[in-house]
Amino acid sequence: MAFAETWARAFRRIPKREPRMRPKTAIAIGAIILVAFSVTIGAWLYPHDPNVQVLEDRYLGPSLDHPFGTDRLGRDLLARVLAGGRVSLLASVLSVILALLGGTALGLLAGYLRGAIDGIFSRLFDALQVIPGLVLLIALAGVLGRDFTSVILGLGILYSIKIFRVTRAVTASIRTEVYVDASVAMGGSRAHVMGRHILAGALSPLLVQATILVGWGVVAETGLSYLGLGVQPPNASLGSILAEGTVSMTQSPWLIIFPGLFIAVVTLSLFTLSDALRGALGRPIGGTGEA
Amino acid sequence: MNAPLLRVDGLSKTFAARNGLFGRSANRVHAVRQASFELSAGRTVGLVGESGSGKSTLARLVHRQLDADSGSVAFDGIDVTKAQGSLLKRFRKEVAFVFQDPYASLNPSWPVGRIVGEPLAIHGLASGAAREQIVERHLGEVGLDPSALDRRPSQFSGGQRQRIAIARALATEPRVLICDEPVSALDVSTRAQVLSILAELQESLSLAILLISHDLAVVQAMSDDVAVMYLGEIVEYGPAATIVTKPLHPYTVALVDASPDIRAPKDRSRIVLGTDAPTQTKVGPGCPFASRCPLVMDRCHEVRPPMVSFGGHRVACHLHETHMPKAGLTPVMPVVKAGP
Amino acid sequence: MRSSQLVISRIAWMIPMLFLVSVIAFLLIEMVPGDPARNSLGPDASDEAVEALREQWHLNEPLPVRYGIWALGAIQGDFGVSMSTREPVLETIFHRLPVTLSLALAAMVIAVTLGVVGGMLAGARIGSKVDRALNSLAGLVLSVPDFWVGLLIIALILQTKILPIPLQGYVPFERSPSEWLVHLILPGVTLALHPAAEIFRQTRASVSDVTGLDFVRTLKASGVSRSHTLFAHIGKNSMVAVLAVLGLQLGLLLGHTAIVEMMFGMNGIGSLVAEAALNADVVTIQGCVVVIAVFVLTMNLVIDVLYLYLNPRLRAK
Repeated sequence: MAFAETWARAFRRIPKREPRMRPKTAIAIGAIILVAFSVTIGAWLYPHDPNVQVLEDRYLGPSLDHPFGTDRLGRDLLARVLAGGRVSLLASVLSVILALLGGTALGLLAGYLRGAIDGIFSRLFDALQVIPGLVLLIALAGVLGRDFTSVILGLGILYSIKIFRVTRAVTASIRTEVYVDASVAMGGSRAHVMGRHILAGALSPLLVQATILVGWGVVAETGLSYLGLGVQPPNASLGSILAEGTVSMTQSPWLIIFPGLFIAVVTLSLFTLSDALRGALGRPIGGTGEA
Repeated sequence: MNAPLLRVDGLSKTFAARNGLFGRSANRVHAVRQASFELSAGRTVGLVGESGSGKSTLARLVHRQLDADSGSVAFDGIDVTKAQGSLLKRFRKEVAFVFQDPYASLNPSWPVGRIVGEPLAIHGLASGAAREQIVERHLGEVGLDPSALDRRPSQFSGGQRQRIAIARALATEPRVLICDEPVSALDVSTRAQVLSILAELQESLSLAILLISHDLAVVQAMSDDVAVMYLGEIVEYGPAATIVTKPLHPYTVALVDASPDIRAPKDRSRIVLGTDAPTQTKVGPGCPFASRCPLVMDRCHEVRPPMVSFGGHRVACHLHETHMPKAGLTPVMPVVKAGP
Repeated sequence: MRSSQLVISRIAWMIPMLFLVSVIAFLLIEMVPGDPARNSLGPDASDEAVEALREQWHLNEPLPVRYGIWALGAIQGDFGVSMSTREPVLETIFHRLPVTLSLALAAMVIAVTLGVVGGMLAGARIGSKVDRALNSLAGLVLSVPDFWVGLLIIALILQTKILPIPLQGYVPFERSPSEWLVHLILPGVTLALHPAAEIFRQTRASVSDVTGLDFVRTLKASGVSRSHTLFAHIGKNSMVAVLAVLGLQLGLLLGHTAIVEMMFGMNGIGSLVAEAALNADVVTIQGCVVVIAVFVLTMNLVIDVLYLYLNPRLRAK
């Protein structure tokens, strides 16, 4: 409920503060909507199937019939990119939601209750952060198995570190505000203060961070599946398309170019959107979530 | 005389002094020492003192925002000194607190209606339309109209914001209101306005009010009784009129003389203190004011002055110790050649 | 706090960190679905064989005991044997370490050079065309996978045959320094892309901050040449912040070596982890995680010490 409120407020605020949305932001939002549409309804409407092999049509360059060309098994590349993109985006979004669920709760507790709880959780996340992100992802993939759920779990754990930090920082700062003292003074329980005052204040920076993380999730998922640790063939994933395309790079560069362009469009748009959100919602929280 | 709503008895609180990096030291700051007073319905007790006198700490101790080291707080006869859980929550419903800074005590992202309605939400007293009605009523009590409901605090002036804070405090229909420097952050013209609203509310709602301020004029305007604090101790306590016209403790005299709105009567010596109050970590034996008192005697450094009571007026000062209560005899400050 | 106190407290912090990381690494094996022994021997192995392997791997002991056994071994250098190759893990790691270190070094050198030079250029001329072009480029680079750019570069080189640099493999320094260097160019550049962009950003920000400071303007006004000012004065002050970014990037870098090493056919730690993950070789993964963590912690310590040394304000205390 409050989440929807924040979204609504966010988009209401953007025009208010700057009467005109910057063209960059409009393009970014448009691109995201276009991509979201393409990988879902668009892919469904698109006549080619990502897994159908037409061996006579192998390694065809871009044409009207196959706008992105075909791969080594004659499969339409656009269809595969859309399918892979869907996997990537879905995995990113779901993992960010997972990270939000875990990281926010722990960050709230650590930032508000301080003491031993803060000590334990902070140290835990510090230790997790010592391990380089991609190494952690690879390790988790090796352990949890190679499928969609494992990717989500792995990314979720990785991104909960960032979410924890952001939430904890915001909590620690809001906690010192006088209106929090006032709320306690009028009988507010800790749950009430955490839910109504602190969490509400954390929603904006979390929204910005979540947007950035979805962008990084796409890149990370691509890396994982490039190594063969993500979704397995014949299911398409952006990374596996790139890996397969490496073999025939010179003859069919489109196999490399188009998946990369797709990623570039998605991540650039998400980052631009996050910048716009950060400006509109006015909180000075920054940083990247690169794995 | 109605039975006291709030009884504070011997409240004391010490803090560790922050010396060096690790904060641990043998020195402890005695923020509040043996504070005792009573609040009754429809009456105001004013707590006055310089910064560092412990008055804000005392207010927070009374409201259980801090835990006292010793002493007791009783509301309506029930001891709430160590109350937790539902008893503490009920206490907070009956005793409300108004904070000093109206710019910080209201959540800037919340609309006013939600701010004032928060106590109702917390105590589950009303919801939806009923809540809105109650909020409107209390806003009206402080002189703000219902259009304020959807606006944010940033759209209001300091005085209006403090009135919102008061409306919020009144939401649960408390019987006691503790106001910590309620007008100190406001400019002088707004102060009178807010104070008069408080006075009206007290009248119509029979509120017991504990008013804390460093400004004696503010305290004196509204209070029935005044407690003067110095370095954590209540050094003098009495009816507001008497405190100002016949102050007994040298510190009170200095306060009165320092207050531009109150004139000293001609038959009394003036006391002007040159230095600021020290933040003492070690309170030695003897009177805490001994180091600055222009009328200090040897005894003052060695023995703590006992609290002596003359009817409704009590004072802790060796000067008056010898005036044992005698029928009809009221003590007077000795006339001394002018101080520095 | 005096600098030495800071360093000591930093080292003191590292120890529980290492402990926690080792616990996390150890717990990895717990997360494997199914029985690790059964998984290793395969579904056709007899129950006795599986049970024997379980005993050998102490899988029936309570958790803290198993951690103790593993940790004790680890401290003495025994990280167990790889579940796939049956070779001692630590040996394999040390064998492959030089590859990753060389690659990381190459990448860092390239990244710092590109990033700092670019950042100074852009920072000294904020808002100019040069600045905006470089800044957009950095933003673009950060939005795409670094290995994708690497692939593009390889494709370009293959296609146009511009440079006869090798596209695969690693040559040890001892065998031929020149070959070693040349083989590191492409993977180094690929790996350097993201750190370079981040270092560029930080340098640009620092330089533009410092450029605005009074003492710089005074210098310029008194006629000191621009490049002299840039390198002598601005340089030192900006480097402090850049150093911090460097530390962060080094950590990320180690992760990306996994993909880059696989791409360029180099047998380093990164590809070791990736291979181990593909083979579900948890023991090797555990060893790698711990070794990498030790590396990262040490690097952070070094960076912190350097930071203290370079930052005259902190040092003066």
